[in-house]
Order: sequence, then C-alpha cells, then structure tokens
Amino acid sequence: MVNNKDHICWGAANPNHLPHELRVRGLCATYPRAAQPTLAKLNFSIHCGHTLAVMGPNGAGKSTLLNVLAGLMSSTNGKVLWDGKALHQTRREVAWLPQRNQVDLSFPITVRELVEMGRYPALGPWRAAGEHDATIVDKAMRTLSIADLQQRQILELSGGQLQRVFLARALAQEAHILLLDEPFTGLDAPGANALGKLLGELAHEGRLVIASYHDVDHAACYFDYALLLREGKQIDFGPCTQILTRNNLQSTYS
Amino acid sequence: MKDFLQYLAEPIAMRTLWTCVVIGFVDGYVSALVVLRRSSLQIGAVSCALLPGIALGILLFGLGQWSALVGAVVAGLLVGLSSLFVARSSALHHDAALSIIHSAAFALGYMILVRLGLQQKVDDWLFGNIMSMSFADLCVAYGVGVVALLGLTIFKRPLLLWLFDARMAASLGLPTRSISYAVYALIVLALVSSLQAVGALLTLGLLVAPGGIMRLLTNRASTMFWGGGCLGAGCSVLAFFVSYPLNLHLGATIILLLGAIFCVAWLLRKKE
Repeated sequence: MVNNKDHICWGAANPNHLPHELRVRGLCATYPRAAQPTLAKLNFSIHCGHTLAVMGPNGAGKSTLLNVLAGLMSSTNGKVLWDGKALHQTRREVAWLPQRNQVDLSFPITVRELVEMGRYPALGPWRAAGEHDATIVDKAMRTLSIADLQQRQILELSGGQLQRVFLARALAQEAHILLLDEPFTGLDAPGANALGKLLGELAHEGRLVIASYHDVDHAACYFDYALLLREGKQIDFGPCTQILTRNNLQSTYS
Repeated sequence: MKDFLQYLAEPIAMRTLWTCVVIGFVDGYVSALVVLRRSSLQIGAVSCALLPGIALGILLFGLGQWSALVGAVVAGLLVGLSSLFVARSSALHHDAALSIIHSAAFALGYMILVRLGLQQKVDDWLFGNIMSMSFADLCVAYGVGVVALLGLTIFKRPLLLWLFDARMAASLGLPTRSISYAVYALIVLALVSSLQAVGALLTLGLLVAPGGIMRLLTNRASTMFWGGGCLGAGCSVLAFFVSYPLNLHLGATIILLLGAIFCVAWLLRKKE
C-alpha cells in the first residue's frame, strides 16, 4: 500500500545513530474519583522501527495508556521518556489518530485541508504554510495513496480511506510516534491485512507505531511487540513471538 | 410610503438601520461558530436564561441599559458554566442539566420582572425592540463584533483544529478547556449584544440560521463565517425596509426572513 517509488525516509533511523527510544518507567495513572489506579507501574522500552500492540481485556487500561502517551491525560507517577527527555516536552513527536466516531464527520473540510493540519504544530498559529509544507503534504498523501482524494470532503470517505487520511496527517506532522486506538475495529479481513502491512511499513521507515488491539490470534501477524495488560497491571512485554504464550494469555484474559 | 420616507429622514431610523447591519453581521459571523461547535440547542437554552439576569440586574441597580446588560452577561455565563459543572459532577447529561437550570432561571426572571411591574418591558426582552436601542447598545454590539472578528481571525488555526479534532488539539498541548470557555463567552456576548434588538427568544435564530444556511451552500469553513455575517446583515437590512411599511415587528421579520432563506437553501443544498 505504501507507494515505494515515492519512498521518503520520514526521519528514518540513520544507521550511524541509535534509533529513537520510548522508555516508560513505573508509569501510574488514575482517573479522577477512581478508587484504584487505572495503570499501575508499567515498565517497558521500545525503539523506533517497531509496531507495538497494547493488549488485554476491556478495562485493562489500553486506552488509558494511549491517552497518557498522547498527553490527553496526565500520569500520577512514573516517567515517559523519549530519547531520555520527558515525552510531553516534545509533543510534536506524537501523532494521535482518532477513531471515526471521535471527529465531527460533518465538518466542512477537504482531505487536503485535513492533512495540512499536520503542519500546524510546525507552523504555529500564525505562520503561513510555504512550499516546503506543501511538498511534505503532497508526499504524505502520495505515500498513503490518497492524492486523488485530496479535494473530497471527509464525509464522502469510507472508513479505510479516512484512516489513511489521518495516517497522512501524522506523516505530515513528521511525528515519530503514531498512536492508534483500536484501528482494526470494523475492518474486514482484507482491510485488516492491508492496514497491518501499512503500519508495519510505516514503522520500518523509522517510526514507532503503538495501537490497542484485541485479537490474540492475529497479533503476531500485524505487530512485532506486544504489551499485555490486565486491570492496569503489566503481565508481560516483549516480541510477539516470545510472549504470546498460553501461560501469559491465560493470566491476561482469564 | 410617504410615512416611511419621512421616517427614514429621522436620525433614529439611521441608527436602527446601522444597528441592523452591525448586529446582523456579528451574530451571523458568530453563528458559523455555533453551527460548527454543534451547540445550537445549548445556546437556545442559555438565551432564555438571560431573562433572570436582566431582572436581577434591574432589581439590584435600577432600570437602565447597563444594569440589564451586565445582568444578562453574568446570567449567561453562570447558567452555562453551572450546567457544565452539574453534568461533570453527576450522572446527569449536560443537556438535561441545562434544560432544568435554564427553565428554572427563566421562571425566576419572569416572576421578578412581573413583581417589579415591568410587564410591558417583558415583551421587549423576549422579542426585542430594535427601535428602543440606544447609542450605548450600538457601541456594545460594535465592541463584541470587533472582538469576535479579531479573535476568530487571529486564532483561526487553533480554533478550527479544536472544533474538528479536540483530541489532536489537546495532544499538541493547546489549552482546549480555555478555548472552550473563551468560545462560550464570545457566543454569550454576541447573544447579549443582540438581545435588545431581537429579544431573548428570537436571538437564537440570528445566532444559528446564517451559519446553518451557509453550511448548506458551502464546504468551506471560512466561507461559512463571512457568508454568515453578510447573510445576517443583509437579512436584517431587508427586514428593516419590509417591516416598517407593512407594520411588522422588526425582530420577528428578521428571523422569519432567515427561516424562508433556510427553506430555499435546503432545496438548493449540495447533495451529500
């Protein structure tokens, strides 16, 4: 799905440098008025170039973790570090991809205008977009094969198309961390395969893709790493091939 | 007709006409924000809740332009924010909380105004009386207009991002809660500035219809703002020229004209 002829290394890992690293240390988060912490002492680190599935039953804290990483919710304890510095100091590095029902689909906005929103963090509130920004937006749209949709209103798009538009916005933002909440929900098998392949390609270009995910059987097909959560506690973290064991899945889901 | 030409020569006619232009434009411009924010019903409730503010303002500071206006602003902010607070701190949904609070406030306001012997005035507050607007009212409308135009132009980019995708705005560190309060305050100010012209009940029409009509005709947010402003101003001026010769209520004529244009726009709308 990624157009390879027009491949651009969006901050792809330079072989001479260490890839960027996300390090989570003792992370705790609690909703206001909740008795128990929603996330309790999570510890993991992962490099760019990988895809991470955050897994667990409902209420395990998957969305909470994504919210904390996105800066939508503050942690009560612990640290989230990006290359050793607090992640919330470099907000532009994080791109949050909304679910279809989280945005106002009747909003009057074209695909191109939506992708251009990705340039807002770099431009600030007032600076006008220049040629450089237009080039980045064009490339992002071509990478996700949505260039021919650019003048369409978002209301006219299918679910899969809309998801690609939001991914293009994340690329235009030049963010290294892509956060997706339940991106596979509602996709049929070919759609899920295409999305899994696409996320893998985006990650291997030097980004870190983190998504909440449900399906134990297919996790290893779409993701390199998995984080297993249950009631906010970390059951295990590691490469899918190693940690999706019968034991681990039993302690996570039953 | 002769009467009308004579009336036009009077200074009060010019002032009324100017009031129509300014209020129509400001409310029309802000109406795009109300439509995009999807808060039309909420604003309707708040506009009714302005009545007790006016009543209390008059009760405390005597009958006057400023006491009524200040009372209205305070009531609008208080009702909106308290309903938000009730909703956040209980299982009740925001619209239910707002409905209860605004109808109770409306009843209280009506009671106070009747007790004060201002029945005649009640009609003016509910349906507006553009002819009775003073120069000070016009200045308030100008002021709100300038704030709205400058604010929405300067902060267009963060505002559109917040309207469309509040989560992305928050994740980029924009102060989304402050933005939502500021937008709410701006809408209440627009509401209050047109209160005397079209009244607490009819002002909702002027604060929703122009933006709504433009949404049917355009797919561009900025066109909704400017088009809404021009539509609001144009309709108000047209209503001014129609209502006097036909002896119609000016405020009601403005809203009715907007309603008619809405019907036409719906027929001509871009099919989705």
